[in-house]
Amino acid sequence: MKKIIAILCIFCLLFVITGCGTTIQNDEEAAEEISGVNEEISEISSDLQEINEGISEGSS
Amino acid sequence: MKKILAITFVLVLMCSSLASAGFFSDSLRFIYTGNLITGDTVAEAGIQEGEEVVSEPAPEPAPEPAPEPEPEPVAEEPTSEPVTEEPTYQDPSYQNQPKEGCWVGDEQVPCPGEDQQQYNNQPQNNYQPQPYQGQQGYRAPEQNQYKQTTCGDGVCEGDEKYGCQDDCGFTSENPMNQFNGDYQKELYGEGWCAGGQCCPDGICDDFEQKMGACSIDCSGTSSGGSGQYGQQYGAPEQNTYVMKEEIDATEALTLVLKLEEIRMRLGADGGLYEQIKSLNEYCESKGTEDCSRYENALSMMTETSVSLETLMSDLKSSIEANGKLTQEDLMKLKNNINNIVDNGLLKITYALIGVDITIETIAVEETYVDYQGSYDDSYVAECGNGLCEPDYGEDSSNCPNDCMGDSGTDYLGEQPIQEMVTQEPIQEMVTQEPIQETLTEEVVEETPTEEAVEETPTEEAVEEVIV
Repeated sequence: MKKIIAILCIFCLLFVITGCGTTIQNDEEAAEEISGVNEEISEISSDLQEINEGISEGSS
Repeated sequence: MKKILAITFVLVLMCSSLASAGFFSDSLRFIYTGNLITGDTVAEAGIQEGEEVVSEPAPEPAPEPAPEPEPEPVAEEPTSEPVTEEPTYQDPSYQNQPKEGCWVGDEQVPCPGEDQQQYNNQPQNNYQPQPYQGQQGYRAPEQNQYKQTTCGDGVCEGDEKYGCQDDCGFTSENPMNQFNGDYQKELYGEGWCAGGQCCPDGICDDFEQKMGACSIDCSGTSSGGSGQYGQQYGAPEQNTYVMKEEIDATEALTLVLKLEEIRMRLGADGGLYEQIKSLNEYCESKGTEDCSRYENALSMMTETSVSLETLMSDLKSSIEANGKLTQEDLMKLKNNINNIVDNGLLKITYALIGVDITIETIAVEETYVDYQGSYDDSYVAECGNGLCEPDYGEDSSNCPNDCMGDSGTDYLGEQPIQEMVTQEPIQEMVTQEPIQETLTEEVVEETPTEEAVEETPTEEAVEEVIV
């Protein structure tokens, strides 16, 4: 009996953790997420541009 | 004991129910955000986004002028009365005008030889996005305090520098007036500044470049010292690159590692993918809108990641084969990175906003000379043809006419590859069809060896010999 309850508790705990995770709950969080996506894409673009500049030398 | 377990079980179930309802995701957010105030709290308090709670905003824009350089006192005229203490003049637009140049009492006069320098030293951070108060808002100052001027009389005098473009702006006879007129446009958003290209905006526009008026935008050049106009003169070099001749294995592997990092960030295990996936799930849970845009973005991310992987494989092969990255590899890398940015990341962004698009590939004009591919065993170098060809036995000792004492001077293969990247405006066509092209096909591209070989003077020399 104790084991069953312990397993149930573990499952419930996992369920709680999942509920507290990154799931978007409302539009406000969705907006924040989109903003984060935008920033991430901009950062990746900048990194690629840096690589591009790194393999070429500026003309003088 | 059983009761305790039962109570625990009930409590856990309650917690589970609350968690599934999203209670903890809001209430416990402070654990990872460190912020006890949630969006609901802010909404209940009636605080709008961007509004500060502590500091009360001023009811009106502050009438005080921006920080300005102290006018130099002139010995002949008493300057004890500051402008702000004028008893009757109430025009705030005039009070907000910047004060530059030399002042004689309340009247500004141009300082010969100093004004240009003064513009170079003008602190550009004083720009304030206030509405333009020039032509429309200008009113002639009262006669008792200021010299009576008439806008439109063809004479740029007194305060007309701040408001009368007819007299003070764009007159070929008086370049100083033209300068003032342009400066007004720059400050208050008229003309090309109306589109936002004002200092500081990160764009070195024609005016800023010509006048050296905005060191923040134009090359970050400090405009101190004796700098006059033309410190930033010169053709723009933004899109002109000279490719490195080669990159050694260490640097090349660093490049590959950077690409690997980017590929992981874009991949299915990366945070960006998870974020878009979360947005997709949220969109589907709402069920009120079309969520295919997120799915398109996810597939574009996968394609971009695959293309990056292909690119990395090619680079690794080149490094393994040659121990370095050659010019050809670098050229290919550069073009492919451009393709990934323009056709991959841009498409992801477009997909996120729900646009099905087909973006034309940006034309990359390159003058790539592949000397390595133009070797011909039967070719004999001709001394005196103006070409130093050390790979065919020509050097400064046996052919000084061509090699001019330096064996590598005229060697075509030693010339840096100049790539003129013409970044044409991206022409996107909004179509109803889904994006069908894959980046993988674009990344695997042919090297421009054949065409370039035909254009090299070496080949022409070969033809001459044959004839």
